[in-house]
Amino acid sequence: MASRKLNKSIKQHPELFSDEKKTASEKILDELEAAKALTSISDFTEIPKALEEHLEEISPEEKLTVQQQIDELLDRYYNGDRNVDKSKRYVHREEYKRDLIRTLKQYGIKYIEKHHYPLSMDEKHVIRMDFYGTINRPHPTRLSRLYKNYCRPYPAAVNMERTNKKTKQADDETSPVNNNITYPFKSYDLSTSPVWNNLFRLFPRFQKLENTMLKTVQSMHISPDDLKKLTVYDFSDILFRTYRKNEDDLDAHLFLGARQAFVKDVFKKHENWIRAYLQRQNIHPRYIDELIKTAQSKGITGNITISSDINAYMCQFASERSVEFQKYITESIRSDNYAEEIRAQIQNDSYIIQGPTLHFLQENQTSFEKFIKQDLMEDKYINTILSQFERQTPPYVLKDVKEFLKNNRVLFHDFLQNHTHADKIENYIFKKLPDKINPKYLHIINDFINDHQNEFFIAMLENSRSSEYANFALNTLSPTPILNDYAKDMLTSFILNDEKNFSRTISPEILEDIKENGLSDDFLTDISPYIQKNKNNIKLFFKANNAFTFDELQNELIESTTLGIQTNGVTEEDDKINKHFILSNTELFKNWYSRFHTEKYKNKATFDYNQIATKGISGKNEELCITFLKERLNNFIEFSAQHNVSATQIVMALKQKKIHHNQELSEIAHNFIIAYGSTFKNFLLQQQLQQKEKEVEIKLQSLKTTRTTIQDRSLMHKFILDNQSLYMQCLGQNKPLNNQTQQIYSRLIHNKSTSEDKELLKAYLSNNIYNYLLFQQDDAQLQPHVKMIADNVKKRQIDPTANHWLKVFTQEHAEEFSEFLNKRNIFPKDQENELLANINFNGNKIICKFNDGYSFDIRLTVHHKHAIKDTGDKKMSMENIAAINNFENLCIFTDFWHKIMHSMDCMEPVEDKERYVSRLMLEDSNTIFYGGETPEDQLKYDYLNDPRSLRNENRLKMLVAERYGYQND
Amino acid sequence: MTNIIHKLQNIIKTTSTITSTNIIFMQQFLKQHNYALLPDEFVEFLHYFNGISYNGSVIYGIYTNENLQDISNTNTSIIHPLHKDLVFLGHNDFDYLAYNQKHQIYQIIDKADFEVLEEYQDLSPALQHILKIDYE
Repeated sequence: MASRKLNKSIKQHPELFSDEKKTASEKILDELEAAKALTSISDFTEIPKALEEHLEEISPEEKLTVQQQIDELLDRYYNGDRNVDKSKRYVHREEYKRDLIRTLKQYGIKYIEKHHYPLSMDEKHVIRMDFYGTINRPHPTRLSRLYKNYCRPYPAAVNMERTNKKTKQADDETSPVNNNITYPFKSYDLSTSPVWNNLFRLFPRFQKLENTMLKTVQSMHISPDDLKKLTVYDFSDILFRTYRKNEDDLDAHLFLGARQAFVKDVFKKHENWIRAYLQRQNIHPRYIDELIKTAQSKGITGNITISSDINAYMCQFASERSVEFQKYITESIRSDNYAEEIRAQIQNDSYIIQGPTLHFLQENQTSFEKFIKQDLMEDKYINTILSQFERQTPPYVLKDVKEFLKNNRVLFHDFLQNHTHADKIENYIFKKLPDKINPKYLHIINDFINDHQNEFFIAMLENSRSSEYANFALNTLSPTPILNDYAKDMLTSFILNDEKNFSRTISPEILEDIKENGLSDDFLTDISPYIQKNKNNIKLFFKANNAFTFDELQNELIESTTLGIQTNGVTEEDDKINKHFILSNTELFKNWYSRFHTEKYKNKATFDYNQIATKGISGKNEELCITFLKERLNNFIEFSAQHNVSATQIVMALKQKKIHHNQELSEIAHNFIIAYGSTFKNFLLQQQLQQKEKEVEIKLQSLKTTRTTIQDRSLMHKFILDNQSLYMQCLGQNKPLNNQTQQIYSRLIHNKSTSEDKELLKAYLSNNIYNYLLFQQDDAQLQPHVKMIADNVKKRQIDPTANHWLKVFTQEHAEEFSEFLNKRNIFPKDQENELLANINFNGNKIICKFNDGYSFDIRLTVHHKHAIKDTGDKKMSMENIAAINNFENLCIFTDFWHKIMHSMDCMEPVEDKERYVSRLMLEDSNTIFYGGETPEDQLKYDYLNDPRSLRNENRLKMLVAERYGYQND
Repeated sequence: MTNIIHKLQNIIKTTSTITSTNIIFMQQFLKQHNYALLPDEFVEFLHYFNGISYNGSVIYGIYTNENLQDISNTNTSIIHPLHKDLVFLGHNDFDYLAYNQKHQIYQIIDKADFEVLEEYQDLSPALQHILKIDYE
């Protein structure tokens, strides 16, 4: 048996080691992993040439030998020489130790045997928290009895070592006291706490947490006096309670710990060097990128997640198994489950329009468009019916009404005398017309017009020259819903389905009548509020119970729209189709427009003719007369010859446009006009109409480009009323609806669909699910389709369909895919099991996550170069224990070398503290990255002169002087 | 092995509820972490005693409770330069009990400086040493 080396004093303090065990779990946190992957030597592009030459001299085998050699020396040091007899195995241990020390010295690592600064458990605990930036939930046994009085215990945790009853009783005694006194925030002063002031405050990171922590102290009703007595672990517990996210969390994040801050800084300052180093270690470039990115942003080098769109690998995978891939798609489509799968896919919100669907759409364009049209027509039809219950007098009719009232003001005034406040009403009506007007005043107007129907009809006829319009205007003032039989039947069914609600708002007698006789015209006004309230339900009911075929619906829609035009006038919603109607019948419109004005201008022509006939030609009408004469020059010359006026004279006068100055000629012209009276009147009318024709061109132009005005709408309405049969024909063709349908189709085909388009498509597919399925399963469709997918995959042209099948195929063959990736050395070989678990299919992308944390060959960890208060190195000026976590004392190591650095640690207890008695240290204290034994793999930087360190040092000096009063050794 | 199990059964009145699945998971865990695997003899022992806490000494078991001294969490907490060859199985006040896979031997290792204090070919004497049964 080997002689025991430890002195007896160690054995007198077993708690030191048990404590070490309990806190040691924290140690594992500083293990930062990295991955070893594969890159060829040719990738070493960033290495200086001289270094490259040097590297070539060191073969990988030699590199391995260094590690093997140290491993062997270590093994011999710890496990003795296995080649010799058991009894002599450990005899030359000191010699083995010397060999090990000598070897390590070659690689810049020195062995120091001296008594270091003894560190208490409390100090160690705070240093750890500062280093990691996190805090573990303190064990209840560590908390002081005083503090336990203020806090609720954590959910019961079984402790193997706490099984005897005595301990349980002791725990029960520490249940929180009922102390609900809330002390003022200002009464808490952390300067009074020796633990906080002399220990926590040395660390700038803890200082920043003070106020937040004190809020928790206040909420726990801890008395300011007791705050002074709290221990380090009590404060830890308060911090844990302050910063934990959930009740059952086992650790809490406090701040960016020294370790992470250091990693961030090193990776930011020396990115190029680190990149080149990792490339030299054959780390996969993708991993290097991710590692550097994560280290720079979060300060961690473990738990690296490589997220990657690996479509290219999926394509390669499927292409290599093209026959299998095609067979898989074919079988999947032909399988019995496919109908359900398709149905489920269609119902899914994230449904993707795939190739087969688009193909199916292309094949069934007419049917699909008909479906959309029917859907849109159903909407339109039901809206037309419901609009009967919302009838309002169109503004352009009110304009006509105002005109009528103005022309018959006296009559209206007399009529109003029956009402109180007649003047007020009159003023209101004239002020508001033709805009929206209060229904009660509209009612007055209506009464007046009903009393003077004939006058109103004549006025409307004069104004609009259309009896249809005059009738409409009369009707629109007393709006009563007008429905056809189908609409009434439909509403009857709806009401009977919704009896309960109906009877709540409408009298039961009406319901009884409807039950017996169906909905009659008499009740339409009565049920109007009910219909308006249930508009949406009626729409849904109609859509669900529509028994019309496409053609029937179209006819019904034409009829109801025409009815609407006759009763409701035209509204803004109809502008599109109405404009289309006019613009597709421009010649007719021009003609109609002229005719529309003929009556009006006939009177004007007669009036103008009479003026000329009685008063002769004047300067005002001279130009018009000259035009008339010019057009009939020969007749006029012949007529003038009878009065001895030469043709030359006439031509000259007409050319100079001077007739009324020449009395003789003026009289001859006057007589000529009288002689051709009817022709002249017609000429005058045509002149006016020509003017109107120019106007109509402008009107048509404005209809195309500008928004429709009330006047336009009035004109449209009159035009439609005069050309109803043509309008119905136009509705039958329904070009705007066709355009809308084509647009939807086009958007779907070109993958630019809106969510509404998608819903329409889903509804169409659901309605035609078996056709859709048969289409997909049809050999003539299926084989070319599958081949096309396979070809696209081969060419890496990933459309939604190919993407879908790739995803499903890869998912189905996940294990094989994993092997495929591994064979290509995309990831380390020992990832196989992890890889399977980590392939996540997220949306359209496959994301491979590697966060297992164990399997990468290279692990980067942060090591404290010097132990606390190590005075061995003068450069390393430690002002206080907080300086242990300063950047100048930290160094990143690879896993192997970090273990070596701890391989000769030896500690001993001193009273209630422990200290290092031997330790390995770096020869060069400026080394901040020790990646290997060669100088090329060691990065040096003088952190002592870094501005950040200088700032930190000054701050610490001030703090130590002010609060801690700590004296240097 | 049988003797010490009988001896322990007289002293410690607990029964192991460990399953093969627990052991497989633990072996997988050790493999993933690059530690040595549990030796067959110790696996057999686990079927009788899934962890022991006796006389200030502890033999690790396989637990789901985070507060118990589980093989996985104790092994991750011990940083030994040759850990890839070792799996730690228990401890007392001063020493660890570990199995050295490389040399196929049970070792009593000093907690302070990882010096090997004693080596045993079999588990029984190693357990006796760490549990201090002979000292009573």
